[in-house]
Amino acid sequence: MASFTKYQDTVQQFWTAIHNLTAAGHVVKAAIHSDAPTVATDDELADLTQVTGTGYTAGGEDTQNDMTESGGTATWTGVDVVWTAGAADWVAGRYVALHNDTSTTDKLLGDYDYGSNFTLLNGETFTLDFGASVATLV
Amino acid sequence: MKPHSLVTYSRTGKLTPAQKAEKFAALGPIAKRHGRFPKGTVLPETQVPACPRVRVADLPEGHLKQSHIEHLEQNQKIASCCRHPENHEVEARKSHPDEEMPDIYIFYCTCGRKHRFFCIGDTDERRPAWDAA
Repeated sequence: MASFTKYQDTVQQFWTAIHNLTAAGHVVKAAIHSDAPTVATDDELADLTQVTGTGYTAGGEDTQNDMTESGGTATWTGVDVVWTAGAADWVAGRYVALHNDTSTTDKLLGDYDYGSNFTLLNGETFTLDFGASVATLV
Repeated sequence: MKPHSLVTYSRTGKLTPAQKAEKFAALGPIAKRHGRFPKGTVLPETQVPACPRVRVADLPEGHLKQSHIEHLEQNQKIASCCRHPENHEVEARKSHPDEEMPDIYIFYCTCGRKHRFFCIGDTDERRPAWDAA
């Protein structure tokens, strides 16, 4: 899996009931951005520079998140997100941030590094594959 | 009880910021991957090839992730040629050399368009890989 980078403020947010990752709770979105995440100071979506281009909506896309617990293990799941570029090519992005779109100021949860810049041209796609789960907490 | 026999024990798992930084740095290269740098830092590219670009048709049927194939076949927003992954070429990459297995798959359509898949889940039943044909 790609390495998950946790924002430092996120741990406090969990202990102060900012997040409810169940399907009936909050909406977690995935956003693509170009600037490297600084975990000590970044804590909301506005701290990041998102890409622009046809087919990309500012704020990102709904991951259709859910959270279940079994035997003391919490499992956070999501549904794959597909971006399809339209007529206007995208500016380069590199990172994918997960954020709580329901929370005030869209609090950041974590980030993934694609490892290089990428752009999408008209008709190209970028898909986030969450596999069986986004994350587990044991 | 004699005063000099009094003692106070303290137990704390709380580290100072300096201790935390030192402990994190001890993790080695992975520490650099997790945002411990000033705002505005431009990181070097870390992506590396994992599996060479080959024709999808040359791989055994079912070897690639079925979800990737279906995403291409069912996406009505892309060109008709792009909805036929059997005609594509595919390569696998790692977002960082420390990754255990490929986490990026790029499909190349005959029309020249690219379709990227970035595997970010923490559990994945299978992650296909291959050598040069």
